[in-house]
Amino acid sequence: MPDIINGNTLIILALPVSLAGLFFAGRAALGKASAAGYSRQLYFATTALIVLSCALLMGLLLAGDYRNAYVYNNISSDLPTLYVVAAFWAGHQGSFLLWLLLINLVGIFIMYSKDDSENILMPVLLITQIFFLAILVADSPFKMVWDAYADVQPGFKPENGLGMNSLLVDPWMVSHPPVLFLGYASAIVPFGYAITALIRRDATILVERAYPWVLFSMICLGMGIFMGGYWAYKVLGWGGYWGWDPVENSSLIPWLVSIALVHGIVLQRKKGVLARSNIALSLVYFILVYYGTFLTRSGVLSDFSVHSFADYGLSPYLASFLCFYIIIAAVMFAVNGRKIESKNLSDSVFSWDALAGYGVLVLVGFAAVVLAGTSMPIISGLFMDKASAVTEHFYNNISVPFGMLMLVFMVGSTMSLTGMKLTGRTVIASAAVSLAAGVAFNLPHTVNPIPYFFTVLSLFVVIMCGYDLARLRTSTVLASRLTHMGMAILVIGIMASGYHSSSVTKTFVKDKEESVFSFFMTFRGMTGENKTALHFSLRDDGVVRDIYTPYYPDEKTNSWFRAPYVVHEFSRDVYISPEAFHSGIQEASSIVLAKDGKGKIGDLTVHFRGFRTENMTSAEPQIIADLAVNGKPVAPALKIVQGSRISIDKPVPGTDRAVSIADIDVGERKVMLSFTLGRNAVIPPDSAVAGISLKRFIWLVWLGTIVISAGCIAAFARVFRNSPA
Amino acid sequence: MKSRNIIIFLAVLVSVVVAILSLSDNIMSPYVSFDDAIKKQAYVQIIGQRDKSIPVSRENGSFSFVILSEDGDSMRITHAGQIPQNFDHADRIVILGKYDPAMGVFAADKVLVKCPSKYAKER
Repeated sequence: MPDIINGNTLIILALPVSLAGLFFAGRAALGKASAAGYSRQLYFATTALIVLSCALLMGLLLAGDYRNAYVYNNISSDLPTLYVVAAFWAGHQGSFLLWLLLINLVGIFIMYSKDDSENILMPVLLITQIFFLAILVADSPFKMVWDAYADVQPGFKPENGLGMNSLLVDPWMVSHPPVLFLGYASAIVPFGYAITALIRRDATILVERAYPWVLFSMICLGMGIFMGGYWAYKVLGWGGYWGWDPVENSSLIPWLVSIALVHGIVLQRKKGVLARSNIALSLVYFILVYYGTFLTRSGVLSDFSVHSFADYGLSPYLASFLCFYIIIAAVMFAVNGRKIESKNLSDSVFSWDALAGYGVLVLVGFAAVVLAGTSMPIISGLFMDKASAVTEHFYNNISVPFGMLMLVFMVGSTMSLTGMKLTGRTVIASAAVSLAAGVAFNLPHTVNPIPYFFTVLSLFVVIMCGYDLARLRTSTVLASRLTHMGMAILVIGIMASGYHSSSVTKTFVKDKEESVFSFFMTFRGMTGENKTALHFSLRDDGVVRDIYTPYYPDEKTNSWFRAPYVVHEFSRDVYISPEAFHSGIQEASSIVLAKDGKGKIGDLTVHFRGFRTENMTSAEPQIIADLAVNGKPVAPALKIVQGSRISIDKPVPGTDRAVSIADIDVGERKVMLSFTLGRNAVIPPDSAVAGISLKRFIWLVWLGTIVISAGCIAAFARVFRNSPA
Repeated sequence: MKSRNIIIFLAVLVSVVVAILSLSDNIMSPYVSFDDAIKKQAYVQIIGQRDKSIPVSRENGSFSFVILSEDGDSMRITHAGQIPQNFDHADRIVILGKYDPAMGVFAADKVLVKCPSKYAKER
């Protein structure tokens, strides 16, 4: 690759071109029509530069050019091509570049959609693009290894890269991040329309123009979150699909707001209500996307999450741009917000718009509480001397009232819309069925009232949605009833997989069958060559199946990579995750002792008295470990000849075994001894520790997300059918 | 009518949130020193490096290990659950839970592993 086409040059060049584009876009916005043409041409030039730099990074990855620090850090030669491509967004510099590309393409889309608010949207887009370019200049994906690492000679090309973290080598790595970034990137459009609405003092543009974008952004974010959940369940071995981690919350919070906004805009379209709220939500949605990025990439939460949020030195950039957006949005809303016309919600509490309006309020309230929880380390750091995070209990407990209210308003508003009476026969019959089925579903498994409430309510929602779908013209209600039904199915799945589950951690001695819950499991040993796995067999009702759980050392993180194995059954998943493997041979032959420490290995009692050195000034110094084995002195040694260690083993008196020094830790005064096995050695069997949990009806969680997604796509398809634009 | 209803609704919602939060235990996890964790016996969060000279022990489905604070204090941790990924290579370990004076150990509710950043070596 010729060095003239340097990625840094492309990015640095895109910055002044974007600034010039912003200048003309600003003039165009102020009414100078001729400036719009220049602005467009400059924008296309930035597109070319950004696309070129993306192509360059992808080329470097595919070519495996390890002189590039990003390539060196994220891939290695043995990585399949699919993941080499995915490495584009595996590191944080590459993911910012992808995000920038998507924002830029959104701008192209807007130009070609012949939008009369282009003059306001484009400056907003360009400012964000400049923000991203500044970040990429500060922390470029085109750094060379000798710029990144102090001890590397210029021009040096490493033989191989560090590779991708094993946890990321998963098909979901290919789709989950880009889909999320698509959701993040498109959030800028509703923001731009809200600014347009404030400038024009007319909110109808949200209904006419912003709605498809909000819907699109909500769908991307939602699907991205769902995919993240499948991935976490399948690979990460956290035992669940959701952990209320800041990384997860920083997508969940804007997603909840986007759901509120979609409903708000529907209400605005049908009743002319919530116009001001929708503008505020559009502004807040975009800001929350950036706030989430700030939280997860600035290092402020580094002590409070499982994820390692190293401080990449970007916090000042992220914080200042976040402040910029907040100030712009707040000032414009404060000045012009009141001048926007909006109708009041109906006085009657039981009207559709009032109930749906309260639903929007609940969604926003939930987002606010999760936001407060996620930000707690920052908030508490300001007011207390010790910063404090909130725990999972906070989120789980707080989800109870919000979840119930959401379900209530979900079903209440659609019932009121279709004129169903609470005392009607269908409603009473459905309620009775839900109650009976909900109780029957929970009774054998839990006495906690929470799953009862949620299951009964959700079943009622499912029945009412199904009833509506069956009796009404499907095209009008399809999207709303499907998403609501999916949400209710998801809730039932959350209840069953959460409240009806049990788990146990067991030690398995090789080839010895253990009873686990209602079935039997046997550890068969470690199998495989490089990517080893623990082999178990599971016997249930006479059916025996083999189970292999990956368990091998991951070079990148220098730790054991372990992945669970999941047996899918109709009523439950059996989730088996490997935890540890103990080699019998190692147990019978090696032991680690600290100075003056005693230990037993087989029938030998070993006492390590300490190290002694000999011939230290000669060419062949020796380190001797003074031992007492069964009370008799033995002194194996390490001789150092020309810098390499030669082990001198010693027979153990009174046995047919010998002992040698396998390793020493002089600093901690510890020794690892290796004993030969001897003729009559008894080698203990290998053993493994595994956690096994039963997750009841967890497929309902997946089904729920699929039904929600189907509903969302139906909503999106409907927008395109109804509006030719 | 409208704004009054909304205000009532919001007030009820806020009081439900406040009520739930004041009734729930273990919702906050302040970072404290080992000494404070022993003194307070409340739900707290501690951080330290694992003392690798003492092996992880297992019994009855829980595992136990020792961590060292920056000041060199040590604390035995027990956790009824799974050893997290990357445990062996953890840079530091964050532990949420309560000190159990009867057993003289810190009973962990969650064990979070902090891994060294892959960018740590960059200048």
